[in-house]
Amino acid sequence: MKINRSVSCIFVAAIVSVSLGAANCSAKTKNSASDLLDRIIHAPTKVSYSALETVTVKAGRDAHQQKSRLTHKAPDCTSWKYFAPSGKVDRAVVDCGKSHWQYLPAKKEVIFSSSLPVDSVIWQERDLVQLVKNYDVQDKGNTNVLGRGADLLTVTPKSGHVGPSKSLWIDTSTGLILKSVMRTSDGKTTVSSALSDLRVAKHIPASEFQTPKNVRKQTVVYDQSASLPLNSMSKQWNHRLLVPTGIPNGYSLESARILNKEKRAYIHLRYFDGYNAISLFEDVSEADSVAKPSKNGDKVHGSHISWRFHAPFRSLTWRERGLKLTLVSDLSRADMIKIANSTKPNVPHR
Amino acid sequence: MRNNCSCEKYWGLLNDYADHRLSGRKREKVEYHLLFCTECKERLAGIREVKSAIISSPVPGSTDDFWANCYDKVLESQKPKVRTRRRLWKPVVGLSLAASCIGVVLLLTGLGRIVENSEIPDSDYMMQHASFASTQPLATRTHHVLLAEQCIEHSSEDNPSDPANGLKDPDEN
Repeated sequence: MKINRSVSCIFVAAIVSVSLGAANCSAKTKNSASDLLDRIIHAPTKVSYSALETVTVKAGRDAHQQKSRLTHKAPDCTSWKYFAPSGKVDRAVVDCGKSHWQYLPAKKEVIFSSSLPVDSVIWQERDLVQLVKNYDVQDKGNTNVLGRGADLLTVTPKSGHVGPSKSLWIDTSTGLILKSVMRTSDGKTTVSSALSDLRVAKHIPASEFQTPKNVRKQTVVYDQSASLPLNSMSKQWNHRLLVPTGIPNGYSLESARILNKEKRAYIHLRYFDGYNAISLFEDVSEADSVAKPSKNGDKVHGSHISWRFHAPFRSLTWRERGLKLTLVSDLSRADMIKIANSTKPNVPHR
Repeated sequence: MRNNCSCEKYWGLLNDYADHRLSGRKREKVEYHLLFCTECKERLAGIREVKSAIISSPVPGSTDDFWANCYDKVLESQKPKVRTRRRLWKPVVGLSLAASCIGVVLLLTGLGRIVENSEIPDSDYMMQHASFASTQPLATRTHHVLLAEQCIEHSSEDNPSDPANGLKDPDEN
């Protein structure tokens, strides 16, 4: 009897300890993943560095590679110098939060463009909640990448959710993303990036982010409203507003904005799942049909459609009710046609 | 219709042959050729048919009425030529209408192009979409490629319609 009691106690203790250990591991995994996400968000605000970045896009059998010299000055100034195949810099982009410009050496031209709206905050808390709801975010442990210690973080859509998947190798010491591989929602395009020649620097000269001298300058203005409720948008825009009712599960309307370009107003509806986005643009148009109809005769609401692909996104354009509508996402063509066919006039709630 | 070079030199002789005005060596050559060439035989038959039709039709000028009618017609021909203007009016109006139609079509297609050119280009939409995407910490900064092309499009008259990276849509069938 005594021996049996002892064995039972040991057995129960073992079960309890294993359960506690498993719970601890699970909690640790979740904490690690959110810790890693937190590090990714804050690393650029703390670390100044320069590196060679290589971005490779593979779409089906085709591939395109772009190399750039990346320089970042904490908290928010980054420059990219893009290399042509010859090795010469054929364009430079500078983004310092409020100011954004590009330099084309061949044309000796600098083009300024306005930044994103004030209310487009990077990574709101609700985005993280949505991300975890729709994706499995897991810390896969330590590894070695490009000679540096890194933590591997994977983000994969949960069962039933349509979205991209991504693996990120995060530098253990700085929190910078050393390497990443992303596969689009349609599974047919991958975008990978890798940093090499990474140099963490305490001081980056301001001259790195100044416009060159003796160049032509022009400004492209993107005037954007703050996000509006759909009812208000309908009234302000003064045109029919179409809204998709067949957005995939997990995506919700994140923002609705009126944009103005050269006195021409158009709409941007953005649906977000915490990581991936689907955009619908609406522009008043007198034209009856699209310029280059799809070869396979696909239609939306009886109208011809046209496709445009710029990896990793594709756009679907069609015309109806006096509007030109353009859907942009990385979803498959079939999914995008379903969403387009689900658009209906927005009926304001009273 | 077979265009036989060797036949062409006989076509000019067939008329004289039909009128029995060929003799000697030329007549022998035409007759020898006609033994083997179906096309020239048909041509000769056609010539003879026309000639017999002409011969069998009445000759104008054989009656008194003809000369009276002829005199009236001469007097008629001396009157001012009003009909010519009326004759020209129809083709002129017809040409004007056709030109107007073509002009309207060109104008409409031109207007269509103007309407399209004044619309927001697709690259703007791509850029807007990508710009927001790039604010996410998990994003890869491909948007800059789009931004760069956007600006290149603005500064260049020849806007490229195909993606600059040249990648085909893998979902296209």
